[in-house]
Amino acid sequence: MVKIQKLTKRFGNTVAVDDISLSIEGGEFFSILGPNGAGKTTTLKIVAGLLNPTLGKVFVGGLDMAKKPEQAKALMSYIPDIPYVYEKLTGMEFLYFTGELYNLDPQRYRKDTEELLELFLMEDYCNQLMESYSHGMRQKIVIASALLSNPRLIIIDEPMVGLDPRSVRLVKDILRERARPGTTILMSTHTLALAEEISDRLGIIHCGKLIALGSVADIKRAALDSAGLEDVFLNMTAEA
Amino acid sequence: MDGVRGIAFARARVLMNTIAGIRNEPLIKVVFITTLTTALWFGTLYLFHYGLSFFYGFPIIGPALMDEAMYIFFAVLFIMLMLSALIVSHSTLFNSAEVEFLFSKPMNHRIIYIYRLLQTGVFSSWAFLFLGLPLLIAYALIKGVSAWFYLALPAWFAMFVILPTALACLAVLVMVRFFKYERLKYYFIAIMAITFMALYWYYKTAIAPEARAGGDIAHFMDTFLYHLRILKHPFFPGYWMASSIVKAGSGLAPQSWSYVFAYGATALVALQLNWLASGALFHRGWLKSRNRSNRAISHPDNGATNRLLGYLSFLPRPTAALIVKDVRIFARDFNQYSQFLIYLAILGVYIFNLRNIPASVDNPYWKMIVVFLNLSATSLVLAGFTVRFLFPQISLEGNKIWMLGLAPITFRKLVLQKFFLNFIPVLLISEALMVSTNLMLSTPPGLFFISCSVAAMSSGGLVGLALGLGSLYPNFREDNPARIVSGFGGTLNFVIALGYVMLMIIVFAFPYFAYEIHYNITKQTFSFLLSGAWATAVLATAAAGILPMIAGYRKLHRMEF
Repeated sequence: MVKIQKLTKRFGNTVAVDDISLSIEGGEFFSILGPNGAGKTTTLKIVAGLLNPTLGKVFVGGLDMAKKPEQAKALMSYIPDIPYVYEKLTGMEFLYFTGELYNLDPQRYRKDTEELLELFLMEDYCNQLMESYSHGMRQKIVIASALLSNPRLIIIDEPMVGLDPRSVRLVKDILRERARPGTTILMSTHTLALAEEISDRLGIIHCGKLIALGSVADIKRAALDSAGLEDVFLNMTAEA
Repeated sequence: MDGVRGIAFARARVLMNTIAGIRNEPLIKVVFITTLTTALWFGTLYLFHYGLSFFYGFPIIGPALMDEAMYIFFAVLFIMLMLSALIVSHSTLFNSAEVEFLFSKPMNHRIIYIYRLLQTGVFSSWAFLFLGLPLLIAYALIKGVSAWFYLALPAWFAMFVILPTALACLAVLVMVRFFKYERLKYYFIAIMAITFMALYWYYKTAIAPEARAGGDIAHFMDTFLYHLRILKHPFFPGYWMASSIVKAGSGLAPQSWSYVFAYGATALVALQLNWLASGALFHRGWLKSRNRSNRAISHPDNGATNRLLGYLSFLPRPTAALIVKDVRIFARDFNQYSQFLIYLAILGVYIFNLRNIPASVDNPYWKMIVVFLNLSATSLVLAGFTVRFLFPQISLEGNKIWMLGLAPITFRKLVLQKFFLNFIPVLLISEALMVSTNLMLSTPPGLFFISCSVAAMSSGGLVGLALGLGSLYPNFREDNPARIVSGFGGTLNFVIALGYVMLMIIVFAFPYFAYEIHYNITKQTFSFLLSGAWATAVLATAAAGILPMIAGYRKLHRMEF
């Protein structure tokens, strides 16, 4: 579903992403881990078509992001770490707006909107302007809007920031549920326990380089460490 | 088309929700603001009507003079709209969270571009809508044009704004795509400097010598208008729109429509060019603009702003730190200081313009008019300046305002710090302007003192008003000053500033004109009216400057972050 080939991104003299290659299959839940400033968000933004690679290529669903960005974006939903919302729209209006942007059937997206609002426990707030929402409520609406178009790929940057424990569990369950029938999830997170719990595979990025790739068990094995992922992560990012 | 329905839906709902939000406001506030806005709008209409009627009433040349005023007005407006759009379009097209959001969706890039282009038009022209409409209606009333003119005005306005906006956006689009992004601001500054230097050169070489040679106002006007014929060049779009108004005013509807169509067709061609260019350039240019390298800034212990911190050592440390922070942010924000430079350039052109008037003005009647017009122009520029630059200052603290809320500094001190930081330069600029122009005009001592005093009071009143209303109606979620200003609070600030400036001038102009020009009051009444004018001006300044600031910092104090 996602193919990243020799991806490099430079900002002036700073190398944010350094020659990363990886392939993510359909239905796979893939997490990117790394310390602050490692290049996680830059990698996700390049896959989402929001940044141009300096070198290398990104394919989504077989489509070259550089050549067919609109068609590639139609296959995916991107959830940034700081979600953008229209303050003067209600949550429900925002979801309808998303439905229109993705050219969805109005009857279908209205029905799905109701279901998603119910799922995220947002029915009571869905007719309030989003300017009155907390960060967590905004995050829920943005995640709901990402699910509305039934994307084949969900790119999600730090999904749990600002969410209460119940919502964290909810989002975790929903993402896992989506991955099962074939939706690919590409997630960046700092929460190692989350990555360990729900990822099929993960990659650790440090100083722009992919320093580990595989399942949690593979990575632990490679690090010759039987402790938790946290220890492996700290060891790897300290040594690299 | 991809995304058009979605964006139309979202924008329509945003508008409806904003209007519906008025229902939650206290009724007395809504009634007060509506009444004030309506009264000021009609007041502006009356003043334009009065001014244009004054021109129109000149024997023989009156109607032509009024038409010439329209040509000059629209020519200058066209250039100003283009410069304004040039600045605004950069942040609207390339530096906006909404654009990033829309680019993450499977939307046609051209649709996103045209949508943002239209927004640029709105952001760069909202003040023009408030001031331009009464001017056109005043002109139409004097000329007695038919009803279709009024019906066509909204479409006419929209069309007038589109062409300069489209040309500016196209220029920015090409520049961002093909020039080094980090150097873009220098190109902008160079374009503006060249524009103003060219205007100055033309003025200095072509207009000024002949104007100075003349001995009376008629000769001056004749020479001045002759050399402004460039503004009536048949290929200049501003001329077409002015002509459409002038022809309509002369009852020549077919000719008027032909100019409207010429302008409209050109605007459509410009939009089409934007549409074509945006397909190839917008997304690539936007991606390129994301590639900004992280420029190293000098160590906080070095540089000019650190020296400033040293100079401010007499102030409490938090206050000095806030001042240095504001200066640093302003100096690093191209959108802010580029518009500030435009203001300074306009003031420069204005002063050079005035240098030629003294030789022509020896009649007390004209001198009086020129002195009050000078005061009005300076005050209006100050009003525009404070609304544009000072109103957004509290909002631009953004969601970091909680940090200031936790710091050992009260919001009262924060607002006062911003007041003094801005009042001092505004006072210096306005007084320098007032003293120099009054010296050029050889203004009598009494009027000289009054105009300098009014400028000083207006500086305080307008700065306090902008910062006070900026604190009362902050928008912490918006980082684009043009958008902050175009909201409710900014519009209210503009309306009240306009009313305040008009009041300050009218209270002094009335006794002077009644006593020295029309001779219809006694000296005793004149003195009485002048005392009343002083009292009114002081009270109005206190009300405009101090009350909003008190209400503003109280609101910030009560605010929950």
